[in-house]
Amino acid sequence: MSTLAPVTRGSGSARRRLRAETVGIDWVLIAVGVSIALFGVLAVWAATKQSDLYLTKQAGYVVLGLGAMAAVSLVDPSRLARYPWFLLGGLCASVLVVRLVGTVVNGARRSINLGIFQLQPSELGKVVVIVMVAAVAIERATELGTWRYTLTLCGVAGVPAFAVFLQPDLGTSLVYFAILASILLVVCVPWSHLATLGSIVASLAALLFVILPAFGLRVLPAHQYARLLSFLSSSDDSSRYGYQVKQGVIAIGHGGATGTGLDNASQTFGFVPEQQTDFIFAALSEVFGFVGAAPLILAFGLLMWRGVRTITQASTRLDLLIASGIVGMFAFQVLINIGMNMKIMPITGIPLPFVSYGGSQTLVNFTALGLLIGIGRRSAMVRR
Amino acid sequence: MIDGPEREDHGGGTPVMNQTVARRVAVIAAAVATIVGVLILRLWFLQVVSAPTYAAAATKNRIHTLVDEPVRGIIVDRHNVPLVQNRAAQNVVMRPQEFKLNTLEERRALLRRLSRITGVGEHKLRVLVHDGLKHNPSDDTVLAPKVDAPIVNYLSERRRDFPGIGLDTVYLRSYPNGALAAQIFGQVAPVFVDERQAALKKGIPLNARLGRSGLEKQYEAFLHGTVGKRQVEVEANGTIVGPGPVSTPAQQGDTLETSIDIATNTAMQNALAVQVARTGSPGGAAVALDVNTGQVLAIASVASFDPKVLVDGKAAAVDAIVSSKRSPLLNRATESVFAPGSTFKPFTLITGMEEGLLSPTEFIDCPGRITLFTNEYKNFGFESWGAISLPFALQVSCDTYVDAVSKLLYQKYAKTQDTPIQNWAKLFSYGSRTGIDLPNEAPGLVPDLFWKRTHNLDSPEPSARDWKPGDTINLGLGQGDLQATPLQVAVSYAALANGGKLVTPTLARRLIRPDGSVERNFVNAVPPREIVLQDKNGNPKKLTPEILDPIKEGLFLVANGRDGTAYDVFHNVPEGFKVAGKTGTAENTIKGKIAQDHSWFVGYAPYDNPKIVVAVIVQNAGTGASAAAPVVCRTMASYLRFPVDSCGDGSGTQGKSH
Repeated sequence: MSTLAPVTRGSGSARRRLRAETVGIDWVLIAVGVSIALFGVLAVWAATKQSDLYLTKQAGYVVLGLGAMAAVSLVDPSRLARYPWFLLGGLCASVLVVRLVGTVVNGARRSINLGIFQLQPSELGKVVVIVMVAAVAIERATELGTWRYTLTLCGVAGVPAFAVFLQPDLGTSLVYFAILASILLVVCVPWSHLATLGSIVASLAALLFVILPAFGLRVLPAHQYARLLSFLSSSDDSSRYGYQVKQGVIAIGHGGATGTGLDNASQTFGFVPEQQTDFIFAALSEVFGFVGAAPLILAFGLLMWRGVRTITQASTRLDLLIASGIVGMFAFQVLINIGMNMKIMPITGIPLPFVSYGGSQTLVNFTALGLLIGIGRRSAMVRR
Repeated sequence: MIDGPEREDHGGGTPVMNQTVARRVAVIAAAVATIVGVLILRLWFLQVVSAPTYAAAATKNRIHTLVDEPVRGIIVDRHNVPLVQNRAAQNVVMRPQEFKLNTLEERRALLRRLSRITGVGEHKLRVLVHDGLKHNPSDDTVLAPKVDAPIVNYLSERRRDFPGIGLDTVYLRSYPNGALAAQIFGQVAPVFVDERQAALKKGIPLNARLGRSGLEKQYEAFLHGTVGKRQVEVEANGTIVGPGPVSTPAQQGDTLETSIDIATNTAMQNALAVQVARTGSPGGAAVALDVNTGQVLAIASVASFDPKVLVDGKAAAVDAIVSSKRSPLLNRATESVFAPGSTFKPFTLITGMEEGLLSPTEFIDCPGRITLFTNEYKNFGFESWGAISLPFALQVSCDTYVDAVSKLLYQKYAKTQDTPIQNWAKLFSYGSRTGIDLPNEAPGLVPDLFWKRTHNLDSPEPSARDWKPGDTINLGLGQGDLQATPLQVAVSYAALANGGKLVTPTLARRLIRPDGSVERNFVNAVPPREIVLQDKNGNPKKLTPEILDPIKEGLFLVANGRDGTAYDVFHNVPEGFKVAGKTGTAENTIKGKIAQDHSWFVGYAPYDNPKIVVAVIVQNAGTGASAAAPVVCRTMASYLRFPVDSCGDGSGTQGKSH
């Protein structure tokens, strides 16, 4: 319904040339992405007491993102994928450079000031990790099925994840692993490997959160424990994070079916923490209610479904893996962010794609969208 | 929506898609569907199912309740004349909403100027402001309490120079009658720092001022009034953005109507103060009751103080009262105990008659000295009256007559260890609290063998733990270890006057709401009880006229008989107001040394139809008639409205009678 019928090559008319250039473009995907982003601009505006500054900046990021999307959709990542180790080195280096000279925000050095916005290499790194892991997976395809292969991919994602974790930015490093997981899944690593890795992750989590603390050993900083575990407690609002998540839930509940409207969102202004970034879902849920927030979740569902559709249409294995990584990234971020807003997931600093305020993350999401569009286009060309 | 029509065209999928990959992608698709489903369900649960709960939580979050202290209820006498009122005073307060608008530099300069004006240290002001902004950002913070009029005027004329600083009206207690009955009202004070936790648990606002002693404490729940609640909508940082949904205004406390008659109380306290001053006494106490109801008509304790000084709170003046050696804060009428002396004799004689050991018409010798159980006892001034009857023994307050009765009582019960005098004394309110509606009432003491054993448990002298014949003799004379408050003495004589009924003394008559309706009526709340002694065989012993009449006759003769110990003071009292009563001259020691006797008088009037009973003690002032009796007479003159000049001044009686 969105892709146009195949056209014959060599048509002279401008209209035909336009058709040729736009063939295979998933307009639904674009429409959904742009709709979510525009709703995000509205939400940021609402959550910041209708601040014109935030409105203008976020709208600017969206325009920038659309440009990036258009540009990336024209690029074939297979060229980039020839140098995965270069990408890995570049990503780790930039993360470390920012760690040394970057701007401190909330106690972490994650970004570098570019004038228009604070660039976070670790955010852009999400796309880089997708391309990189997919590229290595293709490069070593002959080893598929061996532990060596599986562990190599883990290492390729794990090294930048560790660098990002040191910033400290636990949330983003977890996104890297989510990307890795979805690529491992689709590249058809044996189920036994996936099960083993899953068990190791579960054991590590148990060790980190249950066993070691029981012996008085805390590997993560105390606030990380508090944040990560706050969603488990039923009514503990003694800790700062318990308080945050409780206020978020109250805001969502306060919104009710139809929302409080802009003027009565008393929770959003003051009580909800990070109301234009990590907890924007709570803010918009209070303002717009179930009738506003539920369609947003459904829109994310549609976005991811179009992503899955793109996976199935990928013309090369590299595209297949890249598309999988992107869908994995979106799905994980949506689950964790909305989940933590609604107190069913731990608090980790993961933004809501296209909605949370921020230049880097808007840019990276549109870039990812651009990659998906490109994959769709190329597959249409191949099919034709 | 999911798949376009071309799906049919390329049904086999792209070249890279095979069965295995498709299965793996299906896992991702399933995960996506699950995520969407879970999130939608959770959102539905929060926003639709539990919305009311969270709406309430959000309201609680943003609605801050400010508490307005109510105006305290006033205290009036039985004719609605104010005894304790309120006066407005001004606190200098910091209003956070406005104050926050100042820059740091401006705040500093502002507090510096304020410090110069109010005299409160600049550092202290800064600390108060800092704490107020941090812990109580929606409500005013008091910077300087109860400032004087010049400061109020200065600040109210220069509002603009002090942005964020305001004046807040508070109501303080005022006492239009000065030191009159000052001890019964008690003090009001704010919640102290160490009481905050307890106050919060009980729901008492931290800016409340609470009754701490006296009637203010006793009737705190009614006098305090209903706390006003004003809800405001706030942001997370405490900034008020508008009024909240509910506001209930503070409601003034109930008016406490007491049974005090201010004219009688004034006459009593003045007369007492005159006698205390004249005799160089360290202090005295007086209490007047309605003989039938026990309502306190007047109560006085000297030395007294002006409660205003405590309210003003100037440190030096407060300290002068609190640390005065004359204990002006002590309510001697209810909190101090004394040996009742001869005023106790009627109860010994009643015991003798009830036990069948004494007939009122029987003549018993009243020698100047008498030896009983190897001890010699003597009459006051070694007076000897020969063989006399019971009324005359009271009239002249013959000790040796009473000693003889006590001896008989001791002999009768030495074996059985029964304590008839104590039993009767306790029925007449001695030895336990009367139940007056004042805190800190002293119970007094009626000694017996058990008390001697426990009290002297550590005494090196074993005989100190015995009940000796001399103990009974002393008890019979109202001496020894017997101790009573002036109030107990008054209550016991009210029973003699009203035909043998024990009254419960009360100060409160009614609590009246601000709208005039009656919240509580205490009149006759505790009806007088007939005094009946159940003896060991369960037979009731009553105070029959045969028993009471000779006693009353004797009391009448004390005031009206030629040789009566208080004849000089009372004999001119007009017909219809005739007084009956008893002097007491209580031996006492101060720090182990024998001191000047306490002067007691307790009496009731009119004799035919008793209305008022008055008990007075003037400490270390000599005989009963000389200092205490004139106070009783003047009190009665005021209440019963007979001429004051019919009362003798007692100066001629010193040393003559007791």
